[in-house]
Amino acid sequence: MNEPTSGMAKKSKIQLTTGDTAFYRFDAQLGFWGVPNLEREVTYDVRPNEPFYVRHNSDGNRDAEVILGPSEKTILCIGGSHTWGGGVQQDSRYSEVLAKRTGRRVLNLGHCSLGLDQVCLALLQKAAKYNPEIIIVEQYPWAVHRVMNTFVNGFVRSYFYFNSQEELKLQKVSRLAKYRWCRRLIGTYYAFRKEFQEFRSGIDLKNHYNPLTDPIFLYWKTRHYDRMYLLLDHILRVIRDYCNQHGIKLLFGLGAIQQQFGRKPLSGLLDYDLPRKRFTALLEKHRISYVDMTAAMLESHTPQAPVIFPDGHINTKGHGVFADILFSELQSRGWVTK
Amino acid sequence: MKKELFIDLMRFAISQVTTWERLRYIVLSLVFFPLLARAMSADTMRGHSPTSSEAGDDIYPLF
Repeated sequence: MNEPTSGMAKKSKIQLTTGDTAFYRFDAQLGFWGVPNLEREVTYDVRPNEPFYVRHNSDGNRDAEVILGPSEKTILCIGGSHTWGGGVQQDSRYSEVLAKRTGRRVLNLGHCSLGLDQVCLALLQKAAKYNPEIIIVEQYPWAVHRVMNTFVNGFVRSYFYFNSQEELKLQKVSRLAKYRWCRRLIGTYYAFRKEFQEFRSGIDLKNHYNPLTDPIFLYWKTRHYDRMYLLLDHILRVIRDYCNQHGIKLLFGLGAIQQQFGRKPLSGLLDYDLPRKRFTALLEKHRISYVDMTAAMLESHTPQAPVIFPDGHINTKGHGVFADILFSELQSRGWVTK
Repeated sequence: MKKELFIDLMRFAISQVTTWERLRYIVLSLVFFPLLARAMSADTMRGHSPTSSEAGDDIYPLF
């Protein structure tokens, strides 16, 4: 366990719940990002009796302070709450395990509820500072829908859209959004617009949501998500081009979806692999390297020794499996040596 | 198209579970109608199937 350091901004014990924003604050570029120099002991709703420690560095990342040598290269991991390490100690996360395996400096820029569009923007704006040789993007396949969700946990996000000439454009966060009441006003519109679009597609996430029949897995609702996959297509291209232009090796790591552990779909028209299939098709289209963790995660999972928490986040064992697969993949590509 | 949008918004409001929510959604529909009409109009104009490459240097100045 990482021990608390002295002199940090805030120290308190909190109960972490879904959508918690205790670790986040308004960010003019990305909508939200981690609060710098924050440390707290946290209890997680699926493990109320096992607190874990969270400490953000001065960049707002759950990571050690980054001081690099002039030509020092890093491996940069970025993604959502799995990368951030929801429910696990910092040194149990796959990024830390990977650092031990490779002997390399591995940085973690994971943040809860981060969408691929925010990952893209974060890389464009922040990656150069960390001089990465390799970028690993952890993507939970179900979470690809976040590029459509412009109001998250009380924060308004930057988002991509297509203009009338079919060009990809960025809608930046309004400067007014730094004020909470403005965010709420803008967010109310965004949330209403999203809900209305879903209503028009026959989707009701508010009153009749069931994770086992999430519409993103339903073949007959695929049309509603076409625009989302189109956005992902273009966002992936931006990430790939950025990495190519800067000589950075890019690898996506796709996790196993919670619904796939021990459950069979209720219907042949329901496919828990649907977002993964469509996403990997886009990765292959852009010739982006990826590693799919599904088979290994499912094989390693037993009721006695699971690799995930009941809410789907990977636990310490899951992080170990994740790191092992990433390490094997990096080795097989010749990107790292033992 | 605006008429169709308005009817859909009213259907959306009426589909809510409680009377309070129905009222709230009717008010929100009226308040947000101009913004939604503009957004939907833009969506209709552009469609969702681009035929040419949009990525490239032209988008990078955005950042």
